[in-house]
Amino acid sequence: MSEPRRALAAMPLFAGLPAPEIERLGRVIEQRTFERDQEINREGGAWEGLFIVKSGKVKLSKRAMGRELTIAIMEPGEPLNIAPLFEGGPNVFQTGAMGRVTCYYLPAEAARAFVSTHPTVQSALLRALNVRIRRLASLASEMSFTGVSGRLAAWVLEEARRKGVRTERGLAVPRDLSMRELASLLGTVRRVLSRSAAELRREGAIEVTPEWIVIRDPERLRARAGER
Amino acid sequence: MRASIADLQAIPAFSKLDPRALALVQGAVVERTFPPGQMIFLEGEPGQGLWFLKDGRVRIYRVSAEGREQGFCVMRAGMCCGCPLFYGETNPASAQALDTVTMYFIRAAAALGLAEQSPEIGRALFGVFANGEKILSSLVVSLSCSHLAGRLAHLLLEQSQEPRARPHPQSPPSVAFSHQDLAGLLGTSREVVTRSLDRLARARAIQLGRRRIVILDPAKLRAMAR
Repeated sequence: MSEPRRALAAMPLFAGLPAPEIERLGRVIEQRTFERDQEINREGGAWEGLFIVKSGKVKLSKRAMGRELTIAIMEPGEPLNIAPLFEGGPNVFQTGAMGRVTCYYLPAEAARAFVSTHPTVQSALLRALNVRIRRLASLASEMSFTGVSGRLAAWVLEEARRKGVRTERGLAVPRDLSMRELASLLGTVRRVLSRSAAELRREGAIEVTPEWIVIRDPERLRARAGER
Repeated sequence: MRASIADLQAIPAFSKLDPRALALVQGAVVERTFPPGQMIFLEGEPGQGLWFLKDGRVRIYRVSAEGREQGFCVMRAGMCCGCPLFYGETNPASAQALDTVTMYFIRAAAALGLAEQSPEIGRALFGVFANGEKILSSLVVSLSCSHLAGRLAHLLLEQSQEPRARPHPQSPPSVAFSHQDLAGLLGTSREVVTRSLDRLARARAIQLGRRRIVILDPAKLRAMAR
């Protein structure tokens, strides 16, 4: 298998497709590259087809009362707007590149035809929708039950679980989001986020450096996040 | 109890299925009835499958560690809930019958099996999930609007779009919720809901009737939801 075909076969959505099918897909799928902050899909705009992140990170968000509310950050292998695949309708989410991003792109008609004839791809997409529904459900309850510092605490803990680095001072989480991006992810604005971060710092739960957030007191952070 | 083909066709997700696919669904579906107030499934328990609502209303909500409730949505006839379709996942929320409720239930494994057997059914399930995503993302947006009167306005507007909100084409749309139902849906107390409703009524956006809220001025309501 050629290098580009191998990369395609490595996408979780296409896992298990036989080589000739990957070959066929390779002939219709395109690649698009986006620069930082460039729009990929417009919320409410016509669905152009299936975008799958190949490299880089993509922000999935909604407009909320004049603000941007980030729902999730999509990583390589994950599909962007998928709900309109069969029944049409507008894009549910705004999506934008968080750095340089390359996406696989299947135009609407080709996507519909390919997915309809490949049950494994169809069930992988169903699974992706399911994951997103769960993410939305937990976002909804976080937003109604916990204040911003609680949400920040939960986010730091989750990041630490995923990519924490053990240091002398404690488990450290790399700060790869700007304050503005993190505020949007936590459903708030920068000013409130800075205040909440200062609060957790004063309590000795975390320490903030330009590159890292270090967990100084995991017990306290867990209590703030409402974890027992 | 077995569901009739005609009843299944009344569920929007199944309305476009061909007779063969419908017969497959019919073979997998169980009909169940719940009295008002009864729990249908509980948050945190393993997900059993998909529930389609035939009759009545079902409230979907979550409870915080401190015992506060947050309503997610009120399901109406034809809607589906129960997204933890996949193995090993737990219910993200609880569901409670508001009226006498009749539901069709399909076990998760059976639903996935049907989707593999018939791409048509797979597409129908996809539509159900896509709808769930739409409902939840609009809920998240409304939650980010922090004042309650705004969230209330948003909820009333959404509910007033339903066909049942307008029994006569000439009359203005109205929504049948008690203050207690609304409090549960918005995650607050009945007193706070009553105060916010009074505020919307004073602005002449709505009119309060007996267990009915009449939408007088949708444009004003939209402005207040912002």
